[in-house]
Amino acid sequence: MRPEKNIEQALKQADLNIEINTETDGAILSELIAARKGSRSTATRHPALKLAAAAALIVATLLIGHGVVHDRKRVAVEPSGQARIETLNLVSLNAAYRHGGMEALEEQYRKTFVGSESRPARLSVGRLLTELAEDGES
Amino acid sequence: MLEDKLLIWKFKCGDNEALCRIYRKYRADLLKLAALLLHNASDAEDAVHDVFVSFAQTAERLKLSGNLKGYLLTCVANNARNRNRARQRKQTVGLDEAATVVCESATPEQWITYGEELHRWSDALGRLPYEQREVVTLHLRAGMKMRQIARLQGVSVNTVKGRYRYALEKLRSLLNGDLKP
Repeated sequence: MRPEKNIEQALKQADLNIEINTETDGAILSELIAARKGSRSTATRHPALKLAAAAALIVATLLIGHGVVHDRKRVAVEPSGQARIETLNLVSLNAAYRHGGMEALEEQYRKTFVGSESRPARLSVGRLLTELAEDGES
Repeated sequence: MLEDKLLIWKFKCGDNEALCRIYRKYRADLLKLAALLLHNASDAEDAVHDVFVSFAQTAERLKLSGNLKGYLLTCVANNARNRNRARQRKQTVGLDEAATVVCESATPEQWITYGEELHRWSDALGRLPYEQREVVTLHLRAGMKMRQIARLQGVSVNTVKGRYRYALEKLRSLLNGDLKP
């Protein structure tokens, strides 16, 4: 039976030969260089890509945000054409009733709707008179 | 040591020659260690290959405090341990059967061929439990201290010393009369 020291020395000093296949060795080395190049290009591109992506995100967010706000403002400030006509007609009819009573109102009504043929579908004389009467009472 | 530091610096600067030099300088040592740890030529080749590929890919992030050889040997030891765990999960044949299969299956694409001595030691170490095999191989072939191995295995130094002692006893009985004086 041999002492442990012999085992230790034997393994430590063992001449562990290996034969390396040069063809496979070359292929692995090429693979390593390719992996190295791949990682380098990714690494150098990485911060630039991140920056570009961040910039694109910020610009897109700003554009979308600005567009939404702008649209909201336009909706609030600029009513559609039909709504604008209706508003103007109501104002003119109201003013005519206040100044000249029913006769002035009928006159203004004829001028506004009958003559121009632009009578809105939702506006009826009955409803208008009701509203004006209510307005007068208040 | 100084040469290694220079090689690492060049390698981090993108010098492919430095990578080739590191590879040629340490591949044999790493392959031998993997062969002793894994007791399977194909697994050993794969482990060293994986370590080198990872090393090549992590040039920019590499922060080496110790020596390069130690770093690479530790990488191989970690990779070998993971492979051994995976192999144990998949294993369907007995250890005695597996021992006859390993190291002898040569394919045209094989990277290394074992020498006689390596074959013998690989067979003997292959009969030890993996933890004991790892302690003996890392201490005697990779030159690691018990403290380092303990950290690597996540156990106390005394446990590592115990594993080392049991491993040597078993090796002695396995190789009795087979060793040169």
